This record gives sequence, structure tokens and C-alpha cells, in this order.
Amino acid sequence: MSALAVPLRRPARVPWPVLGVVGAGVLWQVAAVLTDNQATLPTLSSVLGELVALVQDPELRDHVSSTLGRVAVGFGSGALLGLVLGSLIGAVGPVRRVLNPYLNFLRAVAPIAWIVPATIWLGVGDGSILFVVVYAAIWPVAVNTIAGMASVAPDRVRMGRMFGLSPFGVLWRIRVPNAVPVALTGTRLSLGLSFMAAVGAEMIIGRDGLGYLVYDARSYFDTPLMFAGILLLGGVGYLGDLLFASARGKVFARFYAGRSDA
Amino acid sequence: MTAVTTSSIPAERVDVHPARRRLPALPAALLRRAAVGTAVLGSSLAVLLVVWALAADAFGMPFLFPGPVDVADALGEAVSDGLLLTAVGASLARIAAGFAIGSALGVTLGLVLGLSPVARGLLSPVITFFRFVPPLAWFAPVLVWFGAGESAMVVLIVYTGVFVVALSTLEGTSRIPVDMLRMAGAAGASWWQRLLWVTLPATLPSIFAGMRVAVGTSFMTVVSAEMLGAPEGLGVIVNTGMITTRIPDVFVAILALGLLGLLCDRVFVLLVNTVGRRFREHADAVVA
Repeated sequence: MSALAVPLRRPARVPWPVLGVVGAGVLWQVAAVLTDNQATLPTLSSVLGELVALVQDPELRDHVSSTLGRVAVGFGSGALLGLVLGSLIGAVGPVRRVLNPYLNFLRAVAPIAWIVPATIWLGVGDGSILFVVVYAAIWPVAVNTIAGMASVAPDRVRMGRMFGLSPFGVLWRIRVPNAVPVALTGTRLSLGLSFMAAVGAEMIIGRDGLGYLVYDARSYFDTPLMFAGILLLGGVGYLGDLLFASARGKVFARFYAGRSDA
Repeated sequence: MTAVTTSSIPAERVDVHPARRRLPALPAALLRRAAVGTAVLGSSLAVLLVVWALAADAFGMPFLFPGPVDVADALGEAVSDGLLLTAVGASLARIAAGFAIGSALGVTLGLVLGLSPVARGLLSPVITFFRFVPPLAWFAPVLVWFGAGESAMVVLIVYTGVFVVALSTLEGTSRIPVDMLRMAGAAGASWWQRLLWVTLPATLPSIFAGMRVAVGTSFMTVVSAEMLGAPEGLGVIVNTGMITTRIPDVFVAILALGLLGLLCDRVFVLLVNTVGRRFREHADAVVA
């Protein structure tokens, strides 16, 4: 029995995740107290205090809400654009043949590099930051939509034809439903990239937002504030992903029937 | 916990007869397809260039909205005075170093998580948290810890890659059929042998998929980090272009970034389709 790779009995229930979080917190606090330098490694307690201020202080709260607003608007419109673009490319063969190389090129360009052209075209400020966020969000959705439309099992298309579906019927009833889960995977990836793009753009040309706050805190060595911003970014990103995943399970459940990637 | 997934499905077209695909295509047919592809790309590129030139002309300010000729000039200049080559070399060296370390760490971490339920339970909330902190948010602390310089940028790229690869690896280990491991065990394979000859090969496709995502985001990290301060690199070209309003240079950098990113992506697609292919569940599926 000992040669078995995986034990058949279930291990006793220990709340490992809770232990992990608590352990990481304790480790941090101890390390910070031992190094005793708030500018290099602030204690967890001071960071948590700063975090409370970030949520309560109206001025700091504005930074949080402006980043969240940018991510929400940029991600929303970017994902929509990606969906439209992806469906167009995925559904129409000639369009795909012409646009695919450009799509591959454009998605390979780091979104942040567009900040300069965006500033010229849209002016310094919110518009160009938003442009970068939208740009970051479009491509994963578009690419996955195309992939989802193309990856239909051939037998399903044949079956649809046999039951008298027109080419448009095949598209609408077979290819589009097949693309939904794959497109959603891309959308989830986009959400993370939107955060990345927003923070990067705010650090480089922003006047407000969490990215600006974290970067600006460096100039007067307010490391606890920096870490509070990081904690907040991680927490908000995680919540957003959780929200997305649960919405996906509820709203789009029917598209996942019989799939392994639910 | 869901790992980041890329599209591992053919985007090009549906195989009507998957089995036939394994036969080598006739050279003539292959040649014709390549010729048609080139012709389509060439003509669409020509149309695009003409439209671009007309639009830039109508805008009338080549310094703000350069046409293709201005960009080509700037490209020629950047290549001849070695600026572009130095920049590409610097950026690629940073990515290569950070990516290699990050991937190695990520695979190790992912395997540990995949093999030990205790480690998975302990570490997964922490890793999930880190995954959602954008790499650039660490820019300021990393500068404090490592000083402004190469190592700070490499650390940021390591951070960009490590969690994506780790979660992808973890996902790969969770997909190995238990029977396969049991069989290896019954055949007398030790723990290490099972790890080396069963778990690792079976996870390779997922590892490559994670690395493909990581290399894409590494470009984003390196450009932003370079824009915030570096002696040379593609991000520096973008930044100086912004400060001195030499916009054609910025377009050169964007062109270089797109081509480099595309090249790196294709390398991973090639890896997935060759090395990864024999370890995949559905060996017929070609990643595009």
C-alpha cells in the first residue's frame, strides 16, 4: 500500500488557509520588529493603521475610487470592444485572414508604451490613462473569443447542419455558445491586466490614483502608506476576481454544461 | 483556485479530419498556402501604410503624428547609431534574467503546491493575494530594498512571472490521472522517479502555457519600469520621446516591442506544439 502515489484516506481537516494567512502576518510583524526600520520594512500594525486611513480619509479615499473607476470603465469598455472585435474576426473568414496578423502584433505591444501616442491624441490626464487600460483589456478577450469560436467539435457543426441549420444558425447556435466560456477566461485575464495597466499608467503620468499614491509615497519615504496601497490593490483585485467568478457561475452557468473548465 | 489559462485551442480553423493532420502536407499545397498568406498580408499592409500616410498628411504635424516615412527615417537612424540595438539588448537581457529565475521559481513552487496538500492550503491564499498585486505596485518598495538599478528591474520581472507559472503548474499537476501515478508506483517507481518521469512531463504543457502568459506580461513590466528610470532600454526610448517630443522614436520603440513580443510568443507556441505536444491529452490540438 505504501507504494501508492496518492493516499486514499482524506487528511484530517485543518484550517490550513487560515493558518497560512495568520502565519504570513505574524512572520511579517516579527521580521519588521526585528529589522526595526519603518522605512525599509514597516510593521504590519502600522500598515494596517495606514490602510484604515486609506479607507476613511476622504482625500486618500479619492485616490482609491479614481483607480477603481478607471479599472471599471476601462475594463468594461475594453472587454466589450474585444468581444465585438473577436466575434467579427472569429465569425467572418476573410476578416480573420486580413486582421489576424495585426491583432497578433498589437497584442504583443506592451500597453504602457501607447501612453505617449495616447497623450498626444487625448491630452495628458484621464483620457490617456483610460486608453491604456482599454488597450490592455481588449486583446485577451478578442483572442479567446476567436479561439472559442474556432474550437467547436466538428461533429457538433455536422449535427447542426444535418438538422437543417443555416450557416448563420451554426454560428449563432453552436459557435457563439461554444465561445462563451473561452471568452470569459480571457475576460478574467483582462481584469487582472487592467489593474496592471491602470497602476502603471498612474505611476507614469497620473496625478491621482493608487498607482500615483504608491509611487509618490516613495519621495517622502512613507513606506507604510506604500504597503497599505499594495495590500489594498491585492485585496481589491482578489475581490474583483471572486465577484467575476461567482457571476460567471451564476449568469453563464448554462454555457458550461458538459465542459471541464467550469 | 483557478489558474490563469491561455487559449490552448486552435484559432486558425477547425480540423474536419483531425487524424489526417498528422500526414505531412504536400509541399505544393503548403507553398500555395504560404503564397496566399503572404499576398494577403502584403496587400493589406500596403493599404494600411497608404491610409496611415494620408492620415498623417492630413494631420499635418509629423512631430506629433508621424507618417510611415518619418517612422522609417527614425528607424533607420536608430538602427545606424546603435540606439535601437542597445535598447533592445538591455530590455531583452532584463527580461531573460527575470523570466528565467521567475519560471524556475514558479515551477518549483507549483510542484510543491501540487504535491503537498498542506503547502497548498497554507500558501494558496498568500499566493492568490500576490497574484492580484500589479508588479509595478512593488516598484517603490523594490527600489528601497534593492536600490535603483538592474537588480530592481529583474526582481520586478521575477515577480511578474513567478505566480502565473506557479498557478499554471499547480493546475497541470491537478490534471494528472491518479491511475497513472498509481501505476508508476506499482511498477516500483520511487517518489523521485514518479516526480521526474510522470508528474513533470505531464505538467509541461501547463508550464509552457503559464510561461507564455508570463513572458507577455514581462514586457509590460519592463517597459513601465524602464520608463520610471533606467539608463537604456525600449522604455527609455518611449520616455525620452515623450519628454523631447520625438514621437517618431516612440513609434520605432512600439514597432520593436510588437515584433519582439510576437517573436517571444511564437517561440512558446513552437515549444508547446513540439516539446509539449507529446505530453498533452489531446495530441491533435495545435495551439495557435
